[in-house]
Amino acid sequence: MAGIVKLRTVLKQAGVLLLAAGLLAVVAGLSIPLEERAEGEIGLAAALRLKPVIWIDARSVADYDAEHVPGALLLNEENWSSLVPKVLESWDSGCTAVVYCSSPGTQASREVAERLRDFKLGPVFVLQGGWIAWKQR
Amino acid sequence: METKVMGIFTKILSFLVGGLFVIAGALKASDPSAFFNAIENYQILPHALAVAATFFLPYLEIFCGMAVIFKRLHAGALVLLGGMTLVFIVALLLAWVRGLNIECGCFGAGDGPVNYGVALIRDLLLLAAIGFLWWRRERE
Repeated sequence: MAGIVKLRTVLKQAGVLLLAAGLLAVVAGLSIPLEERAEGEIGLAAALRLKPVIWIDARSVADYDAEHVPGALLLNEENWSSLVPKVLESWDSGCTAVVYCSSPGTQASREVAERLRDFKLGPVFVLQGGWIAWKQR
Repeated sequence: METKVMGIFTKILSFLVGGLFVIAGALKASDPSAFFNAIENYQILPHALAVAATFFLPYLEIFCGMAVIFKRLHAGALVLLGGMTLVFIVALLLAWVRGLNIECGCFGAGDGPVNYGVALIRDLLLLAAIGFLWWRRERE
């Protein structure tokens, strides 16, 4: 009998804590605007599980021509106006875009991602580790 | 005398265990995007559950940590903390077995590639500390 009372107390207390954390989690989740939720970086493992996804290569034309993520579209700041129409044509609304550049230290992918977000076609992530992460997968 | 020493030790341990979870939860809650990536890198949870865990786990850690420090909802908090620590140990073991080179995500982002041995020993010590606090609670 005492054991059942104790178990009930434990379950009740755990329930209160779970409920409190759940409520705060909902508030925290909803308080972040959709655009902001879509910002930031994504790891390769997570990016590979995204569906549907469009890969954007923010490196130079030469790097892209040498090798790129299969299906990735070239889009860099240098050739923005000539390259962006093809990207917009291929980017279905709601599809997640993952932008990568040469290495984690370069800003190219962040700047391209920033510009892409203005189109508000879908979430845009920057690939953590960039092309290096892809090659080391 | 021995009881008094044990009482002080229990209080210090409660503060350390609770404080550790409060800090870990706060660091995760401050950067949900990074914590989401850390969860996804373990490749265990489906996308939707990873999103839910991103927002839920940090607050659960904070609440349970505070409950242990202030001895409110104490039994429930200890059971939840023990359960969470067990889950973390299993997740680490699964990642280790699969040879994943990932961040632990235990204290938010930026802690570099996980040293599995160190992380597992830390979590096992934490589990032992939680077990000890439960044992002390039962004796009081």
